[in-house]
Amino acid sequence: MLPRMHTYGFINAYIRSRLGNLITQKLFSQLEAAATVEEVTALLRTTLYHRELQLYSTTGDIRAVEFALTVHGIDTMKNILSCLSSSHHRFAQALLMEHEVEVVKQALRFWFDRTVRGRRTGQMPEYLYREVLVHNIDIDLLINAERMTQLHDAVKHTPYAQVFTDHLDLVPAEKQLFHLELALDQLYFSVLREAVEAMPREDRKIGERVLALEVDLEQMMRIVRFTALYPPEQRKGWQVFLPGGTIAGQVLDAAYAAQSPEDAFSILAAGCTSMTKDQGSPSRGDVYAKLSWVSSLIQEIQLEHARKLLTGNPFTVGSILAYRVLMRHEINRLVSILNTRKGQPGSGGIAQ
Amino acid sequence: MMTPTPMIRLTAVVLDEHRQQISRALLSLGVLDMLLVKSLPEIDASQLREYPQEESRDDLRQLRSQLEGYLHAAEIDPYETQFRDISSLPLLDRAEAEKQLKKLSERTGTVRSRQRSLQDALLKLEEVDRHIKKPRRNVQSLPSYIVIREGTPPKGQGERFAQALSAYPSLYLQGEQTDQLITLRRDEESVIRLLERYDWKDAPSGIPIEELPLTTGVEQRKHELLIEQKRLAGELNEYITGQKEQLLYLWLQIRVHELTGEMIRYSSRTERTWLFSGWIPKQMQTRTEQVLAEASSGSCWYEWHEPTTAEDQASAPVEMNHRKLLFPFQALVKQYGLPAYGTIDPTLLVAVFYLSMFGLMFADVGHGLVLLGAGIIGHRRSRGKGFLFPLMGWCGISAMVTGILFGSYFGYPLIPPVWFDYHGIVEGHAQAGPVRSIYDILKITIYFGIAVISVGLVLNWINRIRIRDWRKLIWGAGGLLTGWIYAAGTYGAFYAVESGFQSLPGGVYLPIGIFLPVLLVGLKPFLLSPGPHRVMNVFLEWFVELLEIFSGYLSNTLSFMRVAGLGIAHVSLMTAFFEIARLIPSLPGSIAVLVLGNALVIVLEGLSAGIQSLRLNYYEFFSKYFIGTGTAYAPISLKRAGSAQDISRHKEIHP
Repeated sequence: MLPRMHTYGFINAYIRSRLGNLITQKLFSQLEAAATVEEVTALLRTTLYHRELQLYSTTGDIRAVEFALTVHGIDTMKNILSCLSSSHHRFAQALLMEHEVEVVKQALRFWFDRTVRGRRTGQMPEYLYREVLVHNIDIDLLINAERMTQLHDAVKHTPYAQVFTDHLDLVPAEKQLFHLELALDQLYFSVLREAVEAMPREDRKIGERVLALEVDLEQMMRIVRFTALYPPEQRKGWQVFLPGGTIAGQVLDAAYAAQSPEDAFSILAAGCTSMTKDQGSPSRGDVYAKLSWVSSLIQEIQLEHARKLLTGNPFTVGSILAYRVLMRHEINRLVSILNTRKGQPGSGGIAQ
Repeated sequence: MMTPTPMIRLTAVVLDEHRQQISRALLSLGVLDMLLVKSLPEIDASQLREYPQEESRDDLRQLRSQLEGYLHAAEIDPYETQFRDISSLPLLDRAEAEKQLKKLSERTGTVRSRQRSLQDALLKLEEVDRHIKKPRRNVQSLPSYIVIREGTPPKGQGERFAQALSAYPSLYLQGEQTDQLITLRRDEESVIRLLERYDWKDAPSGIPIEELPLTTGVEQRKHELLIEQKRLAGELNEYITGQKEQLLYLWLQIRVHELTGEMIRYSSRTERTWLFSGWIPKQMQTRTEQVLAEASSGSCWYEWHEPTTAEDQASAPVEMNHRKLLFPFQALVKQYGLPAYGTIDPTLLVAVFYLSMFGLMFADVGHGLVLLGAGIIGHRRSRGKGFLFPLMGWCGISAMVTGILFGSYFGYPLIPPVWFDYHGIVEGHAQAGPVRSIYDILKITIYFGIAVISVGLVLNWINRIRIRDWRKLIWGAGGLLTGWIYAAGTYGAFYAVESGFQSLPGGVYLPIGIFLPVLLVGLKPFLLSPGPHRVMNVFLEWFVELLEIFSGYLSNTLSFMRVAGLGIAHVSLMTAFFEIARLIPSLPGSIAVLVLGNALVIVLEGLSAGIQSLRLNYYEFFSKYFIGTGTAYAPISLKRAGSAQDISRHKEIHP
């Protein structure tokens, strides 16, 4: 018990102090009702994100604020994970890989837009996280690559190299990054699962439970999205399933083969232990409304599990995993609030 | 002082034609914590009507919030502004307000758009800069991602050429003979097309790459862009500040409109009258009467209700209104909870106990002085906000006082102690006087603990009498029976210690001091709730309650030994640092050890002592008597705290 207290004592104090600073539902409602970014900034003046929001007053650029919020989230996780003992080193790195995979995907999108699609998106490579998270990846080379071999060189000696070898060459022919991105996600979840399995018993139990839930919900979101956006014949043969999770293979296959998102959701909900019987179904509105409904439901389930985790044994990885969910949700919600204000006068969006 | 501010409930009926003047007058006074009229026990709600909803409160709040966003951008806080008399303030013209906000929004939008263009340019430049600065294998080799050209565009086309280039991450430096152009290799195809369009002529100057002023050029350009960005932010600031008066006036109109609307929501009406009600601090009763009389030209009827019944007391709001000096301790109490109306407000006692505990654990004049200094500087830097720095200052003073009592000055016995030599005792030197050993110090802290717990018990009895809760006065946790057992137990324990654990007090001690109250505790279920009782349940309840009293109060009292423990640790640490310093041969080394040692002790011990004092107050003192069910006093006013938006914290309106 003592080594656990030693490891998690400080982490818990840090997390608990930050939990008190989470944005309340009341403030979120006010933020969602805010008409301008200036108003959002004023409302967030007493929160942990005050400094990030202040960037807007000098840059007028919501992307700068979004990037600063992302960096805030990554740095907070890095700080927490740096307090873990060496026996959790692999787990800490696996968690940080989530952000690294995202950076790799974004860098690849720059390259893809420029070379395969032949267009400029107006996105700024400077809004990419550059510090080393886990592996030494040459982000500049990924963005600026002239030849395919340079892309392989950028991720040389990292776990991404094999994924690139397996999928990159198909990208120009298929004119999409889709399969490569799916493979990167699968890699992240595999690495995370292996890292969880290598942890001490008590942490492993909690880690496996949280990971299984995360995979189940992500799996569910993907399958519903694919069934909503692509006809069955087009999505046939795609490798969309993630490793881990509690939903049986045949349930996933059946849901993936479904004709509509409603059918896919019902099949998955019946086969997923995290779902209750009375959560309803995404039957109203257009396809995006249905996806949004499923997304909200999944977020709610994740938040509920995170809150439950926080009431459990504080001397486990549970509190870290719970806080990770809460903070990610908070930052995503803020980014979404800011984005919906892009078109408002004062945000600079219209003039651009 | 020892109880929250006494409150009195106002219920008033005025002519509807005076509604606006009266509501504004009350808003200016800012003391009325409104109550929903229909929920009052003396009101027959069936005779009353609602006012029609003129405007959505959300719409008004959004309008105000939007304006506050712009004001905040220019660092103007309307809540900190002193406003003149609002009685003659014109009514809010919604269309005009929206027009003003639209104008402000458009102006802001223009500035933001220019800022964003600058930010884009800056980001592109930063990318070029990063590639220029990327480490190279040798100084002559070009960074692989950039292309450098020297040449000239056709005369008179420089500006347009630079404009076209701005779509790409690039740096265009115009020279006297030739211009330099740095672009990214990835944009080469587009850049070549652009160069052809502008008829760019390559004209290498022959200057080696490492001598080209690339870094200086980038830095200069970045500097220019940053200055321009700052200027634009300043321009917006100036624009808003230039309209400060009008904007604050508009804000006031919106706020008054919003708050009067809020008052209406709480109130009710008849054919020609307006009824409202709310709590007011009793000392404001006369002033409120004057304001009502002036605003209604004497045509008003009102009555005052003292919160005498338990129901009234439960609904009366709580205001803790201590002098500024006691503010940090008031904040400590509030962190725990708001005392129920009419019960003891322990702020003053918390100040005494907290500082005594801290002083006993952290007794040193030098360390106290550092804390006091840090508290004063922090308080000034935080512009008087928060309570931690003032608390730090108080702790510093307390440490200085006890430091003088125990003769400790940065761990050094500079002046002989006034009370006893703490350092001497911890170091094992023989002492004269009543306090001679560590056991004596422990004994002092136990006496101190008994005093604190006893005060807590007495306060509990006072609270129970004040709220007329007779059952809990006698049988409740911390009631008279508990006090009886605690007093007898403490006496018996000291007697046993004095006799070398050989005997207990004789005579009536055991039958009257222990057995009788123990028996009375057991009779509680029979006396309080007559009827059949299961013997086993009664026995178990009795047993658990006694266990709680005996073990709980024993551990509570012994818990105060931590005060001595931390005090001894403080002295021991300083002694250790002095010893280390003595062993170091060089004077600067010794001084460094002493300085670092003192700093470490101030930070770590200061923090521990602060936390332990708080813990003792909360768990050993507050738990004996504190009834934290109070509702915060939130008057409707133009100030931020207690304003309409905060009212929903404790009251929901269900019109």
